Amino acid sequence: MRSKILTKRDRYMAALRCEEPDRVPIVVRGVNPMFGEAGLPPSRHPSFAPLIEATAEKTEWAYRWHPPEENLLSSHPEATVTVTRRPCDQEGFDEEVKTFETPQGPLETVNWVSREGKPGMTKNYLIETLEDVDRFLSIPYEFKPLDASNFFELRERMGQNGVLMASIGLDPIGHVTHWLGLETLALWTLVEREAIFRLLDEFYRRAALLIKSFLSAQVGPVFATLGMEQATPPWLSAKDFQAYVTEYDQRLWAPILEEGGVVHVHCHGNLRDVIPDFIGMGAGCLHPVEAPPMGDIELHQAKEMLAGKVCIEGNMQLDDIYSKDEEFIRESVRLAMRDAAGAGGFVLCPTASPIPPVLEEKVLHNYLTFIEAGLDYGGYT
Amino acid sequence: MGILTEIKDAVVRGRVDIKSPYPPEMAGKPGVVELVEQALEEKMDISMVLKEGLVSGMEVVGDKFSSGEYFLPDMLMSAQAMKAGMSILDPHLRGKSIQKLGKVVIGTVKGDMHDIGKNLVAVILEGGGFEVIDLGIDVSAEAFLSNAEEHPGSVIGMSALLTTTRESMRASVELLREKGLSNKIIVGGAVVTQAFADEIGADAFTKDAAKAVPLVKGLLGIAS
Ligand code: B12
Repeated sequence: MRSKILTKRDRYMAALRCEEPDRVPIVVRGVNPMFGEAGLPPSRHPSFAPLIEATAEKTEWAYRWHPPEENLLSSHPEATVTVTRRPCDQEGFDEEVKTFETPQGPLETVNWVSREGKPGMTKNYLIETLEDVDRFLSIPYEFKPLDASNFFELRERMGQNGVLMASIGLDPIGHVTHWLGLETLALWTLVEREAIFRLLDEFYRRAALLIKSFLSAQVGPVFATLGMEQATPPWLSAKDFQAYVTEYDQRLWAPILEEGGVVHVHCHGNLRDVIPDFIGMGAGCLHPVEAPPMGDIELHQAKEMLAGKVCIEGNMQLDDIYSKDEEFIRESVRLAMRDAAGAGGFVLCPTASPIPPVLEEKVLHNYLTFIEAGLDYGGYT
Repeated sequence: MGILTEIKDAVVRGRVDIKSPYPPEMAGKPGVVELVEQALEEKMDISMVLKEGLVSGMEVVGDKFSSGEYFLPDMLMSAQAMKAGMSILDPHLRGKSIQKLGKVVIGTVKGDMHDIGKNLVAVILEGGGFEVIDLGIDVSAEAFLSNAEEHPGSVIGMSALLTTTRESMRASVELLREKGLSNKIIVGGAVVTQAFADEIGADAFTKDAAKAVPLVKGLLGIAS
């Protein structure tokens, strides 16, 4: 394989399958040459143009295709959600009230949403009491048949430039935390565990339907997921991670693995104690595997545990791209290659997407250095 | 076991009251609520109940979280037990020279929407006996300033999770200093380091929410 130059798609796929490609693939997370095209998120600020260009030309493209209904909410005609907006104290933000009609009475969640497209925050979670759990679960659930035509269109457009992943979105615990909030999740872990499991069971059921429909529509073979970072240490113990994540995600991913698919997992946090779980669950690729102080495992230690089993995608700390100099970036890339590239199964990638809106000159320079260093040090010779 | 030790132990084990199902092995046993009531009936010194019972319990909890023995659920449950105890003490504290430990005004700096860590610090400070005023996210330097003016003597807590918003933190600290406010400032968040805190002239920094309680006490000159 070494003598042959692979296409970007084959190179990335080989790494994801823990094989050794011709060189280490480079993925610039959150920067995609396909942004701005029909149906995709709006293009980034013009200051990103040189980075988008370099990404297009020199790196492997990664893009997550999201099905039209990704929140696993019901499509049942009686499952209505009304959304109203009202002004709020927070400058530049509106208060958005979502009311879910349920056979047992309405449920409400309040969010601050930006008028300028910035990320928002939840003021009041949808589920705050055990009665709310009953209400939520009483909503009749209906799964909307999946229209995957857009996936094939995008894959066609991407061609050999990289991998289009089918996003299964949040995993069951990610959904549960989305509606419950981290604080209630933590407290209920001690006193109302049953309620958490009832919600997990329901989101598992819905996610399983989504995956089944993905597989029958033949999207794939790479599936992206996230959400379990809400349950990693030090927030929850490895034991709770096993109960909330391992138990569910392992069953959820099994049909994907049976068909030879790869599950790409995005999970911040302290991973050391749960890496064996990810291996057991059959994760195909783990991003971003953060080193201390952000995470708790050095890249070479992660490699020792994951080699030949799970591809590592990481772990250039975004903070370094924003604050360090060219020499530091080059050296970090060299060390990452030294520690994780051996025998394949490694993709060089930053820990997060760039911070909007503007890409400063220095940060742009560091990103370009990151790509060049990746090309210089990433060869399997 | 003396009543103060019992209160402390109930805080450490997150036992709120006698009806609470948690922890299961203490079913039917009194929690912080009953123990604090008992201490008041026995005319114990209120400041001892606060400091040697509730607050010292939370200190143990903080240490257990920092060392990895406790996780978020344990810490929040203990904070609830502490709060329940505080709400019983509150009416008795009013009008006396003993007050809550002090006030903390906290917020995530301008441009930054991350609030999980900041909320956690707020809950823990409340659990540690402080009054917390939470300004939310995306808080401008001017808003920190006006709140610092409105609450003289309060400690100002700032959180930043993005490299870019570290600069908002710097600007907020600078504005407070420029205007001559003497409020102490504590900073934290994923991208903040001790070196950065020193550089911008903040008075304290911690990565560890549990450490916020002893640090804020230190800033207010309260002996642990
Ligand atoms: C959850 C999360 C989000 C959520 C936020 C949800 C919410 N309501 O807060 C969402 C999805 C919205 C989000 C958005 C973004 N995020 Co974000 N996010 C995270 C993540 C995964 C976890 C943060 C978290 O909540 N941790 C748990 C809490 C408890 O920890 P903590 O905040 O660090 O707080 C602890 C201490 O720091 C301290 N502390 C915190 N505040 C304070 C304050 C005081 C006074 C004190 C004493 C202590 C203290 O105590 C806490 C408990 O011990 C981190 C990764 C990471 N490893 O931190 C990235 C991370 C912070 N995000 C990042 C980025 C880049 C972004 C985005 C730009 C999008 C993107 N490209 O991913 C946007 C920006 C939004 C904006 N304008 O603010 C980067 C920042 C990189 C950088 N150096 O700038 C990080 C570090 C990921 C990474 N490793 O690259 N994010």
